[in-house]
Amino acid sequence: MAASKPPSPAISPPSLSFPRATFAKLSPHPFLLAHLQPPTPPSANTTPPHRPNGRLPTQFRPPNLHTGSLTHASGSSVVRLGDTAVVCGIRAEILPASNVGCAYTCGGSDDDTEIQALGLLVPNVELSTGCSPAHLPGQPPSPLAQTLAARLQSLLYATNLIGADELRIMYVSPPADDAGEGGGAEEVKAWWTLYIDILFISLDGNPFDAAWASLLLALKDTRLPLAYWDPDLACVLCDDLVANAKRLRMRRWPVASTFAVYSAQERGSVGGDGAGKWILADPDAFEEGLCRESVTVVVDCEEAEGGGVKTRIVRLEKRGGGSAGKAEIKEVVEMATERWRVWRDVLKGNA
Amino acid sequence: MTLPDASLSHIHRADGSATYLQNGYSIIGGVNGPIEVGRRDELPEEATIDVIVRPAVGVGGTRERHLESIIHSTLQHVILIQNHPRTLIQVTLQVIRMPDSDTFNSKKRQFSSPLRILPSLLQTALLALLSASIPLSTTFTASLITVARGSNTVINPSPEDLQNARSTHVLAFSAEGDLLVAESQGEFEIGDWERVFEMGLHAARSGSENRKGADSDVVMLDDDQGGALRGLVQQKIEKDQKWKENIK
Amino acid sequence: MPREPELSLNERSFVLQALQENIRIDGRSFDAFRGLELNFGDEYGVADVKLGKTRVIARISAEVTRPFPDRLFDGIFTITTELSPIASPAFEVGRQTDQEVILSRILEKAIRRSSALDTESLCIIAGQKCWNIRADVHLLDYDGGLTDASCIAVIAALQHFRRPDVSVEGENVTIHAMEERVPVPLSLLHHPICVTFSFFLGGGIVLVDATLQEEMLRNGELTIALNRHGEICQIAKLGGVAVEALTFLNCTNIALVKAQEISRFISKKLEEDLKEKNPSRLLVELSAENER
Repeated sequence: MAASKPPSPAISPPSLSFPRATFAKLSPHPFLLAHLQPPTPPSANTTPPHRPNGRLPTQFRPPNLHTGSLTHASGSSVVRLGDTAVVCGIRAEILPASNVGCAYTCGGSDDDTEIQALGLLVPNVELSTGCSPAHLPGQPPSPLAQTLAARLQSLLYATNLIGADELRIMYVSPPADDAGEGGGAEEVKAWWTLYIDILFISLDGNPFDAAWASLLLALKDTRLPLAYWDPDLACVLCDDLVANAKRLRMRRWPVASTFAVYSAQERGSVGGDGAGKWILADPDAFEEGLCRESVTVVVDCEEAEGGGVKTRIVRLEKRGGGSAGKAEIKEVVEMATERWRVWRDVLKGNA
Repeated sequence: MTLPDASLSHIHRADGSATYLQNGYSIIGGVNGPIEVGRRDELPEEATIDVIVRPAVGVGGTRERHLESIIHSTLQHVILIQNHPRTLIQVTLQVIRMPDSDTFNSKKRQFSSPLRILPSLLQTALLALLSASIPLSTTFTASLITVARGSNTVINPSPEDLQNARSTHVLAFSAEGDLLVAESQGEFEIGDWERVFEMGLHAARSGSENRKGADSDVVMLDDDQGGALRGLVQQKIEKDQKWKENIK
Repeated sequence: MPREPELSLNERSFVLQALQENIRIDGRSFDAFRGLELNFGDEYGVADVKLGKTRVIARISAEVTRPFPDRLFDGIFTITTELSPIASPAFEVGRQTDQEVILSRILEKAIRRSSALDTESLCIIAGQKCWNIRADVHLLDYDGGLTDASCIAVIAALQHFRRPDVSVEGENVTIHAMEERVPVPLSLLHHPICVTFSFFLGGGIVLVDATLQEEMLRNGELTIALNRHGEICQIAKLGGVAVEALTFLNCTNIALVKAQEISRFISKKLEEDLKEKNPSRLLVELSAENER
């Protein structure tokens, strides 16, 4: 009965005595399979198989962005991917050098490790009450929220998005009285610490892509006030002129794309591989519930001459199953590059 | 490259246990199960898997949760969870030793790449599951591979290799050669990754570099695979099956 | 979630009757500890203690932090105990059981509050920088005697631990790598040892180092922490059967003997470890260590 169902979601065949939504609830796995399988026998009107949400298997949800909507945050953004909606707010706090234990002093002055050793970027993920039926209110941070925070943090550090010099608050001691000698020595007096809070208003699958995009946009939107060291008061002061505030400079723009791998074979039946598998781009909550295997690729491309792009992968995460191999990963990376192009165009329009 | 070392079933209370040593990591894994499951976590058609990673120092944070989620989704695929519906299989992995010299800086330790410890954790979990005789659909081999600046790939890298690496990869292959886990970070191109894939697959298949492919039934038949770990599992199974021999 | 399986009626009466006939199920005398094993890892400050089937690993780590604002001249010392399901499925993750609370309270009183570790010596710059010494207790196998084994592990690990040397120049603190300068042992003022007594049959029978089976049958328990000089640091008798004062006194006497034996055992093991790991290091350390 499943295979005879036409791909068009609007019409319900008369042979079914219950509506589409009930079918999806009762037997979700065959429901998705029926959508993805090409019609048998191949009919004349060759509409390619669609997913229950109306998208093609490789189709992403178009991003919907908004920045700077939170007044009291240093930077903020709202990102919507279909029914997944995320708010990200960034607050910058000052970390005086005297408060730092030995964390940095014994670590050496490597630019990349400075941000990490001091923990200057602190992402936190919260799933709000009612964002998804699976999320129970009044609980400690769920494993999903913690995992997301850990993934975002390690990606933030690994990609070196922000240079350490962006976050340093320096003090150049004035030249001494006689002929400017002994002055001009630069000293780090404090650092900016960015607290990045990500709140899911609504979660309909693919939390990582949405969270990462909102984080990048919020960072891009962040303005740090001009901070300077006052030697007389021996503390860091901030200039309250908005014109003097500077925007955070981002070195690059890596884009995350998540895919779910759906296999026709339901769990529990052993053997008989090759029954068919589909790679679903940007899965929604329904699809995520049916696919245990997932692949996340974060790519950062360079525009080469002649319109082409050179794909550099910054992160690859694949887990939960064994059906996607070398060829599938290659395919996924290509799709991720396409996705990078979409984001680039969106950002150009947004800027 | 350091050879892995392990011992099985040395803890009395847990249903299965294993200690695994490699690349300066020492991890003790314990498996309890199938046991009673809390009502909220109960699944009607399959066993719930609970993975707990405990760091050597301090209490677990988001990094440990991240590792737990990777191991959890891998074990969910490997364990025959439909065989034990409405039960709990609890896998606890206690890190005993880390090679990190930065034991004096908790922040650094917290943010050090989680990938380095992942293969050892996966391998410990597998050995502990074997020790607990939990039915598995397959076994797997996890390895850590780095790509250095000159694009040369190193399997089971030394600390210096890790320092110089442009990208770090963890790959786990099932006994059939399916790619179960691929976690990569750093900066690389698809060509690099394909070479890493081949290298990982080769290591998993041949087992010649003392990697394991412990598989309770198949292993004793094919003899082109070697390795201390497999011998160990074999010993364990021989011990478990001794009562059968006496009957004959 | 699973609970610790209860003993059957037959098992109960068997064990109790045997005790009445002066026999312990494992053949020990009433005032004997189980076989104690102590191993140190390759690193400083890791002690692996086996007391019969009970196994505990204690790990000491050090980090430089800011001292507490109300204790500017003191370093920080914390003991963390978290019971993991490896030791027994009855230990749940993320929820503290009474047992866990009692264990950490007793260790806290016995070791930290008896100032076994001289926290003033951990101060680097008053009010700014100090050492934070942390003891993580990992329980791996559980067959009773948790408090005693954990205490031995922590005390042994503290004695084994070496922290990197620091030098202070004005406001700047340099931490010297282990290879650069000989690491420094912690300054321990004394070495308290916990000895737990279990009372059976209305307090008439007293056992030292009960196994899990015996612990489940006992009517009351008493934990005494004392050092080898016979100074009592802590006594915990948390309810249970009423015990005669004379029995109590007798217990302290036994505890002293046990604490001395265990202290000697730890010192012997420490010496062996030092000799075995690096004979040349011994000379260096002997010359670097201050006589207390």
